[in-house]
Amino acid sequence: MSVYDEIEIEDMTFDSTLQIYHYPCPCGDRFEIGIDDLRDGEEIAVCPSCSLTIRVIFELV
Amino acid sequence: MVQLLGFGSNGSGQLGIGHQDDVSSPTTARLELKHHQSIKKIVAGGKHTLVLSDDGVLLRAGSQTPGCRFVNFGNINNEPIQKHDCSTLTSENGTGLLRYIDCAATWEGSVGVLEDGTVESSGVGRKGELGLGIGVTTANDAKVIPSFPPDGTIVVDISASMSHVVAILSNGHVYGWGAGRKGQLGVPGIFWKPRRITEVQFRATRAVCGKDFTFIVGDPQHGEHMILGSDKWFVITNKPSVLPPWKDIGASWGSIYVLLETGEVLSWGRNDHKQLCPPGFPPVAKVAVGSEHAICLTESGKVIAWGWGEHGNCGPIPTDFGHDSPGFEIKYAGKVMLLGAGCATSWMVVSNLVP
Repeated sequence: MSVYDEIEIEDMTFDSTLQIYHYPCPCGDRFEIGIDDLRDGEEIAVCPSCSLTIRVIFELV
Repeated sequence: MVQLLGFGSNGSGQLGIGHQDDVSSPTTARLELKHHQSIKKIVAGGKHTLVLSDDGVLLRAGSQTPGCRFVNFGNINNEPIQKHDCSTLTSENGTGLLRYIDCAATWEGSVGVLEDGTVESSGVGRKGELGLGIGVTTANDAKVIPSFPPDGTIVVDISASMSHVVAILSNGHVYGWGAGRKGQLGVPGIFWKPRRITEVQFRATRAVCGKDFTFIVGDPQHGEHMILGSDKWFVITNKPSVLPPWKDIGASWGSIYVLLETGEVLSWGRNDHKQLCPPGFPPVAKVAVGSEHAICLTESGKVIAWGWGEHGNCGPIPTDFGHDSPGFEIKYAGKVMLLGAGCATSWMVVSNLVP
């Protein structure tokens, strides 16, 4: 699957209330991924408003 | 009489057209301009749009993040169009009312340059985008950026992308603030207040910002230019050594566009969604560049948009093409005065609409 971009996790914003990392999408909405999903090995953050996705670059510690 | 037409992504009402649905054909914004009034600049963040009138009023549509003390337009409930009075909309700064002369928008922030030379900032910026000092991430009301610009100078050009802002001063110096981890503001780091970008070795006249880079140019006839920041999409590697004489510059999140005096659009950088100017393109009079698309007016009067158009921001795209437009004509009536483009949004300022 082709992704729109690869983004390092340090460039993303963590929302402690929603427990998600998010990052702007060029459509005006944002890519989102839950921290639990990242811990489970998921690395694709999706935008609820369009077809684009990003791969989150991070290392599990 | 001019009219503002918008199309594209509209989930937060950022087109100002009275609702929150995307549209793929130019749709009249719910914005009343006086008969003598025109529009000189349109900029956009993720979910908000700033429209600067030629007489100094800053109008705003879209999400109501903090700091929306500019006049709002395009209310999403189809209420009657608000009439606006210039005297109530300009900034109150000490002794009197001031007009705005320039503006820029980050993802959730707004920057206004006032006629007295001060620069004010509002909204949200988690990485220094407000320029208001260390740790200031929110400004509910517009606040003046302290000690900027330096005495004896004024801001002659301002540009922003997702998370950084760059201003050119009347002495040719370049200042920037916001996110700079990729070096887009010179030395890598986050800059919470304006930093002089001393890395620029020529007298700058303009700059445009991509998502992770800054494109700075000198005299339009001299060809000097510099790109700071990330070389992703080979935006630095593939740059020309000298720019031919140019009329305008633009940047998407990952590409750079230079409108040459000849009408050719020189573009390089990201092209996986057909973002770069199509080959064999007719001579261009005006161009505006959004996050991943561009819209232009040809010298023969056609409006053509190309690039990533999933939200209708490049007009209707035949299914065979997916979401990426190779450059289809946008139908309209009248004369195009100005074009604008944001995050999957496109605008046209059109005068003398044919009845």
